[in-house]
Formats: sequence, structure tokens, C-alpha cells
Amino acid sequence: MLALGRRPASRHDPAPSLWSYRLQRLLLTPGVKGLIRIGAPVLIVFSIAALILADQERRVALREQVDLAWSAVEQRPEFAVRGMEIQGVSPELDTQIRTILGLDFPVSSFHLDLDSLREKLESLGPVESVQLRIGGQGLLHVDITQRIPVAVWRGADGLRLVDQTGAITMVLPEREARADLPLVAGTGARTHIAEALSLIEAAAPIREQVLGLLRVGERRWDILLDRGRRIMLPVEQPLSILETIVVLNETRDILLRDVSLIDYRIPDRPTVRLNDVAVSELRRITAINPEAGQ
Amino acid sequence: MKNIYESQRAMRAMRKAAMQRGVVAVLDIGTSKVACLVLRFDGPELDREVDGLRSMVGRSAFRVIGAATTKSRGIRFGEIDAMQEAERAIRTAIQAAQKMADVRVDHVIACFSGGRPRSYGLEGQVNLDSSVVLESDIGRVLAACDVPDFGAGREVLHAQPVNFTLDHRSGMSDPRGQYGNNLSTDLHLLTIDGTMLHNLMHCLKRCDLELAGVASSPYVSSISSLVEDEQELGAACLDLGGGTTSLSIFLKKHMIFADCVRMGGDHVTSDISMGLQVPLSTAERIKTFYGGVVATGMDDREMIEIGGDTGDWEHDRRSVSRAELIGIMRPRVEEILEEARALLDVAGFDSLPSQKIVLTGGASQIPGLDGLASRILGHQVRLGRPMRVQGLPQAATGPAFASTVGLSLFAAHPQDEWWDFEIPAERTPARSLRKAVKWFKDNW
Repeated sequence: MLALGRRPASRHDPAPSLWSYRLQRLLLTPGVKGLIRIGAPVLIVFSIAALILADQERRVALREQVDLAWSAVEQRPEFAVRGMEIQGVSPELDTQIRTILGLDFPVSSFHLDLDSLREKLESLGPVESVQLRIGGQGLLHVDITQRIPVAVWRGADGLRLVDQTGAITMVLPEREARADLPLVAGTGARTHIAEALSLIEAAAPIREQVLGLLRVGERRWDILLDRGRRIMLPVEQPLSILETIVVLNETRDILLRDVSLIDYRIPDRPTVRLNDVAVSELRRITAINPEAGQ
Repeated sequence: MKNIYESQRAMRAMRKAAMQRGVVAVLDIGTSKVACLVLRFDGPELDREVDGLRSMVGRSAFRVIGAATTKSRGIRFGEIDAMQEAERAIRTAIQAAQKMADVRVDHVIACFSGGRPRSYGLEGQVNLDSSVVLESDIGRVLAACDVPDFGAGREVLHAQPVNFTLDHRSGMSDPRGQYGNNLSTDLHLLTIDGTMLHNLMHCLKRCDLELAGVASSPYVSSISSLVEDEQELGAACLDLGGGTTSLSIFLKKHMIFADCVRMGGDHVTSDISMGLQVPLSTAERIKTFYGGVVATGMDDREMIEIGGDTGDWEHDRRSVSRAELIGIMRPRVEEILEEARALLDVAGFDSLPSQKIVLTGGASQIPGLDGLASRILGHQVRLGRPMRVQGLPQAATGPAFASTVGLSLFAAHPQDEWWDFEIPAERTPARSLRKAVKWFKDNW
């Protein structure tokens, strides 16, 4: 009778074979390990995505889905802008701004390009700077700082109002509309409005006689007075020369005399041009009394 | 001598490379098990002032991140007997430890107890050129040691300077920078059978591993089992392994003697196997469960089923009393201890200031061994367990792992050996010049 006992179970050899040992060591090598743990999943995900998107129809369908979802988000009432609030402008500028922007509310805030709107508004003459923001109640707040006109500038094609920096704020139909502002003219006058204003201020005592300022040769100022008279100021330090002339007027009444031109272009050699009547009168007087002309 | 110096230096360089990489494996090739620990070195030890006590006296610079043990095959008396089988055992241990650590290890520091280790005490003496001992003088005095004829085919495993004497002052551990005229040293040289070393190197090479150091098992197990004062005052460490029982004597923190009895726990097992007519695996099981060396009256009544697998009812239902088992084990254990006693006598252990003997290794777990050992070896016997290192699994903390743990300590802080010092400069140029001349002669 054969032994029916347990068969000697085939003993499992725990030792790895040389190749499985080498394979395990290869897999534990840092570079290979990283490649398998990160590189392989990334590769699989990308290849699956590429396979799916290889079909044109799927791509279009996906694009439509995305657009639909995006427009659904855009059309939500939380993002709707229902009105516009404009601050810091006159009523006529307000209507002008509304027509320029041309927004028909309600509009989604995703469709509002605030930067281009601001550029549009800043190209307007009377507007110095603009702050645009979308407020809490679905309102587009437009905060505008207007340019303050400080002078009237006469150009080749009419009168304009200009501010401190020389920027044109608006077209002036006639001088009398803003008689309170001084008049400047000439090429390059607009870039020196601040200097012109200081000259006007210095000429306050002779304010009634001053018609305006004329920029000559883009370098110096002429003060135009009534009755065709004119004061020519130098390039350097015109302000102090003007003050000298004002003082001269107060003490010697130079402008009351029959003078057509006071030329101070060279401060060391001021020149005065008399009218014809005055010249002949002067000649007559000096002929009588040779010392009267001194 | 020269090529040993070179190869050991190469191993030291390899160890340095492993340290820079931060991962090194230690491999304890024993007769009954092959154990592998993967160590991670994280630079210098963190200062933990918060605890108020320093951690492990600077020995925690590494952490065990992988540990594996496998039954060893193809190894007898601590020597590689069947190369293929031993290689498979090593591969198993390395692979499991690597898997646990999740890193690849390329550098291995190995230890083994076989190869018939033999100790020599050497002396060397030089006159100093300058009045100060320089680093080069240390190398010079170590090279000046007169090497005994230790036989063909034997290789040096350890060559540690144990003591330095400067003029008439002896017992120096580090004479560098001191003033004197005459420097002499005592060098402890441990040689083993060269073929054993080459077999091991070949085995590791076949496993794609680089050998970054070799240590003798008695040396490393005493590093981990002897406490600091025992190492300082003098103690013997008896590592009762599977196939060998290795002995090392420490004094002043240096090993001064090592030897090996080619008997161990496996012989006890085979005695049981023969005595009780059971297979070796059953004998091993009976030994670990019921073994002992001191019989009491109780043991006569305690019967052990030894079983069998033959189908013969009478044979398979045998049982023995525990006293009988002890009767088989005790003579063999006594024989091992008496052999160890003989080795201690040869080494002159009696003349050492301290007579402490520490038993460690797997076979030291036999109940009652300390009583028996104190009768044979002397009164100051204790059972030693390896010190704790960071990250060591609980399963690897027993005395069977004394040399494994000691090897990891050795890997972290190796003692200075002869090859850690530069060989004297006056020798090398002459030789290379000769080589150059020879090359010219050969080629023209």
C-alpha cells in the first residue's frame, strides 16, 4: 500500500532570479522611478486626450459645449450691467458721453472692455481723466475729471478754449462768450499757456488795455494793446521786464503817451516807437528847446 | 602588503562615495542567516538640546530604512561554500531590504566570521625627522611595522594601530602634534583566508554591488554589544553564531585579539537531529522552543512531542523529556565554551585588568547559558544585546543581530586603520620611477 500522507510540497524558492533582481534594481533607480511614476501617467493621459480630440466633429462639439457653458455664465444676472452713472460733468457733456459710448443696457460685464471705453472717453477734449468701474448694483460708474479752460486761443480756424496744459477743451464760437479769459495767439502759444497766464497776471494793472498775447517765432511773447500798440518782450525773463514796464507806466505813464511800440527784446536797450504826430510834435519842441527831448 | 593597502584604500574611497550618496547597505553573511540593513546617512547628527541628553553619543548619524533577513544557504562555518546558493541568499536579502527602503543600493559593507581569522600584534618604531609628530610620521611608523610571515594566501582584514609610544610615554591614542624623538606603535593585524575574501567579492560583484568595506564579524559584534566602559577597561565578546563562535577582546576601545571556534548553534542542532533521529528543521524548532542547558527535576516530567512524517505510527508518536534534550545540548555547548576558554587563555585574557565576558549572537539565547558560561569562563559574564540604532525594526534587535548592528556602526564610524594614513612618500616615487624605466626598456 502506498503512503497516502501529505506530498512533499514543492518548496518555494524565495530567491529572486538574477533578471528579476536586476529589473527591480533598475526600477528603483531614481531616474527610471520618476519616469514611471510621473512620465507614464502623463503620457497615457495625453495620448488618450489626443486620441479623443483627433476627430474634427468631436472638437467642434466640444467647442460648442464650452461656448454654451461660457455664455450661460455670462448671461447670469449677477454679471449684468443695467445702467451708467456719470459723475463730474456738465449735462451737455453727459449726453455727449452717452452717445459716444453707445452702450445699450443691460449688457454683460464680460462684454465691457473698460480699457477701450476709457481710451474713447479720454480722447474727448473736455475730459482730462476717466475712472471706470462696475459697481455693486450693476451700474457702470464713470468718474470724469474735466479740463478747466484758462485761456482762449486763436488758431488758424477760429477760437478754442485751452486749459493749463494747452489742451483744447472745446470750440468757442465767439470771443465775447468767454470775455473773462485772456486771449493768446501765435504758433507755439498753446504749449506755453502757463507762462502766458503768469504774464497776464503780471499785467493786471494795465488789464483794460491788454487785448491778448501773441507768441512770436515760437520763442517770445508780444503783448497786444488797444489802439494797435504792442509791447515786445524778450526771450529771457519776460516776466521781470513786464513788471518793469508796469512800474514804468505807474511812475511815468508811458502808456498814456502816444507810443505805438515798446520794444524790450534786448533788455539792455529798450526802444520806443512814437506815432507820426508825436514825432513831429517832438521835433517841433526840440527845435524850440533843444533840451526838451532828453 | 602593498596590494592589500591599495585595495583597502579603494574600499575606503568607495565608502566615502557611498556616504556622499547617502545610502549604503550592510550585509552580515552568517552561517544561519543573511541579514541586510539599508542605512541612510543624513549628514551630521542633529543637536537635540531640548531633550537634555545627547542622542546615542554621536552614533545616530544614520537611520535604518530597510531591513531584511533570510535563511542563508551555501554557507558553512561562516564561509561561502556553494557560491551560487550564497549568491541567491545575498540577492534575496538585498532585494527585500531594497524594497523596504524603496531605494537602490549600490554599495555594500559586508562582514563574516569565517576564514580562520588570526591575530597578530606588530610593533614598529621610527625616529622622527622633526621634533613634532606629523600625520606622515604616523604613516611611516605604521609602514615600519615588521610584518610576520602569516602564510601564503592570507589577506589582512584589519590593521589597527592600538597604541602609540612617544619616547617613554606609552598608551597614547593620538600622538599627532606632540613633541618627541622616537615614535613606536603597536598594530593589531587580523588576517583571514584570502580565498574567502575573493569569493565574497565575486559574489557581490555578481549581484551588481560594490564592496565598500569588509569587517570581521567578532570585531563588529563587539562594537555593538560591549558598552563603552567595557570597551575601555577591557572585555571579551563571545559571539555564539550558527556555524562559528567568534571571540574578540577589546581594551582601550581597540580590538587586541580575535579568533574563532568553528562550532556554533548549528552543531547543537545537528546533535539534536542525530540524537533524536529527527530532521534538521524539527531539531532546530525543538531547540528554540524547548532548549536549555541546565536540567531541573521539572524537566524530567515535561515531555516534548518530536513527531515525524514517515507514516509509521510508533515513529511519528515519539516523545522525549526535556531533560533528555538538555542532556544532548549541554555537552556541545560546554565544548564550545571550553574551546572559547582555551582561546582566551591563549590570548592571555587572565592578565587583562577586567575579566568581563559578554555573550551575544543567536545561540546566546539558550536559557541558562549565562549560568553555564560563568562556570566555564569566569564570573563576570553577562548576556549582551546590540545597542539600539535609529529605525531598526523590532525583529532585528535580538542578540542574533549583534554583528549586523555592529556593522552599521562600523559603517558610520570606522576606526582608523593602517590604510587611512598616507604611505611614506620616499617609497612611492622610487617605485614609479622604476616602473617608468621598465616601460622604456620594454618598449625601446
